[in-house]
Amino acid sequence: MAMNILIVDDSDVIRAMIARTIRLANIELGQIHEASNGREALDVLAEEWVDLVLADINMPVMNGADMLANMHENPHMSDVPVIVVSSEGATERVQELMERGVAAWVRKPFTPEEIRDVILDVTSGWKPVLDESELDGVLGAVLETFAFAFPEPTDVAELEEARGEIMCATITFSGAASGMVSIAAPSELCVGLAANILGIDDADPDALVRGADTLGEIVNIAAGHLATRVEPNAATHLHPPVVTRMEPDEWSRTAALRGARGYVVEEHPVLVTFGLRPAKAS
Amino acid sequence: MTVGEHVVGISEYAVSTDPSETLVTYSLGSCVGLALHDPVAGVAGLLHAMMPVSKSNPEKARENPAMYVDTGASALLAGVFALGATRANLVAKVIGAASQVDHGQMFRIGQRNHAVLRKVLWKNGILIAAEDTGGASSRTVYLEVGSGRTIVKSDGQTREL
Repeated sequence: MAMNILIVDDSDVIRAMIARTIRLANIELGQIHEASNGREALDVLAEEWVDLVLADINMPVMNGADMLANMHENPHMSDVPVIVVSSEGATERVQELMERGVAAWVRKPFTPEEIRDVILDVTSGWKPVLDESELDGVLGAVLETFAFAFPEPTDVAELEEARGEIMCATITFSGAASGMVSIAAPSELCVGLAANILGIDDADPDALVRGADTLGEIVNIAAGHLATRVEPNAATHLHPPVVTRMEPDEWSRTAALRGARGYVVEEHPVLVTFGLRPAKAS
Repeated sequence: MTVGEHVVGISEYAVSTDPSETLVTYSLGSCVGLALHDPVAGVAGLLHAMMPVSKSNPEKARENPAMYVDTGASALLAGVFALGATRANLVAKVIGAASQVDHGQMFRIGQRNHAVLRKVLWKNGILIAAEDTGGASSRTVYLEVGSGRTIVKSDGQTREL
């Protein structure tokens, strides 16, 4: 599964160097996010699915230690592994942060190869928790049972671009299994699915809102099923889904992501991305 | 020299697509060796460069780019790319760059050779897969073109890099 990585450092130079190293290393990469201090990093973590964080300690606004403390208290973020990349190396500080769950510590200055090696080391024990194709089954079951529609899995490269307004519903879940699912679809399809479920017609003044709610509910049920497949015997908490409008260029960027999956539903393109925190080898 | 061995001398580089061939370079002291292998394209190349930067003698560098690490590494990269190797598939290994402090004028040449080579590779978007550098021993490198297996011999010991 492609990894999304967040780089947190107040130095543009360091962030650019780490980003270049990650792109050159043999890492299955999704997106690279950047933040210049702990506060910005927490904002990214609240909005984006991140698999791994590389963070400095001494930064303005919010330092890395406070960022780690905040992450620890937030169930959305508490299990995201963090590699500290800092010029700091005082034994007490290192020990304190390692006890707070820091996965590894790299001392500046570092070579690109050191950064590559520590990322590969931290992620080497990760096992994919679910085959990406299992999503086909889950989405198929949800749409067929709940919305009377059939998704046909389609190669993302062959998926046509969505026309008109696009909606995107995202949900995160944590607990026994942690992950996110995001479904993007044209508003016209969302309204159509709402019409299937509720029997409303297109002229309904609340059609768009119903469409958005429907997409949110579909992502909600799909996430519940995915979480249960990962951890059949333990409870997972689903956070409320968030439905937003998606810009057309964001559709293309999302489609280009590794791990993005395409479907055709009632002749409309649908784009699904999902992340599951890889299980750590015990 | 045995059959299939292609010896790369001091201030030389060689590239090959012959899977039965082994590129060999002897006596890497403070000199630095760069072994490149693209398993997909079946291309290998080996450099034995002596001095770090060509700007000390641009004339000589034009005549013999492999004398200097900067021009030599660039020439070797161009050589393997010309035979179909690609950046994404290249496996780069670095050998040598020993610190032979007993020779006054050689002092820190090894470290400088190493630093310049790292810079050229980084600029070219290539991370080093493995290295055997530093110390005070002379090294001999064997690079099997077919498999990419890289063998280093020094102080009577043989190891795969």
